[in-house]
Amino acid sequence: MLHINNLRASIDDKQILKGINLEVKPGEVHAIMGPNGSGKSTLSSVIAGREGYEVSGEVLFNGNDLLEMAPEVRAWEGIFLAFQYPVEIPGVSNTNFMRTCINEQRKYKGLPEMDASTFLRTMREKAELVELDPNLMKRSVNQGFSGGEKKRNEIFQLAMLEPKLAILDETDSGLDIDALRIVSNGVNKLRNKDNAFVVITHYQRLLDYIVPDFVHVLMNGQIVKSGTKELAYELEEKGYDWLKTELKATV
Amino acid sequence: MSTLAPANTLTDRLTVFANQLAGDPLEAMRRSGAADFARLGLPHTELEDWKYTNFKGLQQLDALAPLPILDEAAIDLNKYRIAGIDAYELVFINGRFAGTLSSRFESEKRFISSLALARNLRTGLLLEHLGMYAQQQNEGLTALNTALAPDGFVIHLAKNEVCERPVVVYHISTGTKERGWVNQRNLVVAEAGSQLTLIEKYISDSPIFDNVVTEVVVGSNADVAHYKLQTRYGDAWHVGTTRVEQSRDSRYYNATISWSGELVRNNLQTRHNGTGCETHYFGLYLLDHDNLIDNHTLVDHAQPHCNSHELYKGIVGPAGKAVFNGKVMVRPDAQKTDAYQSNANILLADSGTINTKPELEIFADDVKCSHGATIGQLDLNELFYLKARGIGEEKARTILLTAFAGEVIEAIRIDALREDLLAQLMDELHRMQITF
Repeated sequence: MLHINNLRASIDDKQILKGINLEVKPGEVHAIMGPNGSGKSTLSSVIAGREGYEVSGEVLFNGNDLLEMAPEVRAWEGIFLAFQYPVEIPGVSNTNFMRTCINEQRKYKGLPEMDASTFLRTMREKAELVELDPNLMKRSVNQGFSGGEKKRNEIFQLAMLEPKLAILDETDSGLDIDALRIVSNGVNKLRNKDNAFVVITHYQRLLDYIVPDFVHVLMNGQIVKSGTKELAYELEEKGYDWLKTELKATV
Repeated sequence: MSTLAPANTLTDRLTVFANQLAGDPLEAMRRSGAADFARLGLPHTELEDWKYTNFKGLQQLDALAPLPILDEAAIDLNKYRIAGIDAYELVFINGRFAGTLSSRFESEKRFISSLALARNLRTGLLLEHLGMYAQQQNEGLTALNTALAPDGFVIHLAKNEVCERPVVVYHISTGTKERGWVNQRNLVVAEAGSQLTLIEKYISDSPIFDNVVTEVVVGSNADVAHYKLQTRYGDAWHVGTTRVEQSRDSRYYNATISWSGELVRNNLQTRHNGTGCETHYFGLYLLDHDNLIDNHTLVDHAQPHCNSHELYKGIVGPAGKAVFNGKVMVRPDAQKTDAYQSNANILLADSGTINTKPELEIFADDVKCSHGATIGQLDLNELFYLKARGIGEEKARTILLTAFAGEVIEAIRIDALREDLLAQLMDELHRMQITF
């Protein structure tokens, strides 16, 4: 589904990603862990299409060149980024925002607009999935939302848009244990054999709830180690310094 | 300067006009206006108040005669009506009252009509109020208007008269290719406990120069909502001065919406003459070509325990020039004043210009006053968030701009008008986007 080959990205002449290779297949969950400043968020931004990066290498999504696509086309093709810091959009209600997103996607696929009653029913169902107060739907996107509500709103949007590949960028950061459980439950219910998740996190704790098939460690712009979920426990126990030392030893 | 003065200068016209004044009940007012105009002349950019408002060619307008008088039957009012509003309608074509198109109402308690008719029907009212408030002694165009404006609307509500239907005034300019003057003089007197909603709609397909002066008297505990719409104004030039006098416990609400016109200058001034007054100003301006929209506002807090709230927003595209000057005066007696002012702008292109100047002059010590002025661009994070969710660049920009401007439109209290303007706003912003 996602094929990343020697991906490099720099911003203002500062090299951040230094040759990433990653293969994600349908039905898989990949966790990407790493210390601050290792390039985790840059990786998610580059896949979603944020401007401002100098990018080289290859990213194929279902065989198509992702780097050539505008961000909205990537979304229509089935890429979803759950933002680390969801953006507040004053004056645009959650409901109108979601309706526009869904109908733009349907237009791209040659489908007619979703009728109002189906839309409202779907919205109610998906909001329940992440236990999001239906009253928040009338309010401006993320404005005046608590940190937890913002993150749950991201997963709600994910549920509405049903992407093929979802990237969760530190969705667990700043969540208390109850909110973490709600968000994780939502994600687990959305998992199926046809979609895939890339979960970027700072904390191993999340992986107790969203169990990954693979764990990758990103350090200094490269994936330095890949393994199964046991790698996450090892990291939690020994810290990133252990890995740095081990890597030096192998050089 | 040529020694041969043109035969039809403003000064000449004022002389001719003055010779016909004998017996006119407004003679004294006309003569004082003419005297002030003779002293002040037309405005120019060397005056502090006109520094950013350059009416190039205004001085050459001196020689131009007023616009032709047109056949009322040729005007189709349906083109301009706001759907869903049952209103009294007053129509002015090239500055003249169009009686056959208008629904005048003249009873003892409620007078909704024209200045020309009021001269005989409401002489006492005019003598008591007309020309008493607009600052003609320091503004040449106001003085000129006082001296010779032939017509305008006059609305009078007697004590406790609640006018449940809004009054919509259509100022239509048409039928000429050369720029010409319309001087229009309006008066609103809402006596104690009365209630009025007034919508002024300026419409033009001619290169008009509208010089409009409106005096509004809001009696104690009276309520006036006043809308000024410049949404289909073509290449018009406009200097409109609205001067409001509020008595104690009165409420005045104004929304000024401008997204057309080549040169537009709106002066909006309110003075509080009693305690407990409440004033709301809302403004929205959109500029997308080589045009200028200028809002000069004043709230004069002269009495204690009054509130004012002011929100102006603007979006400026290529070569557009917006000016906002918001003066809030808090005089020594005006303790417990609560005044808030905000002017927020989005600049869409480097070639656009915004001059914003909040002016707070506070001479009382127990007051709450705040102001903010911002000029920014579309927030790139917001834009990316929308795009990442599958909303294309153009649509995303339109959504964000509509949301920004929508805050002003949402404050409109007439449902039909709000819906009408919101729909137009989306179209207008979409059009602005694709002209890039």
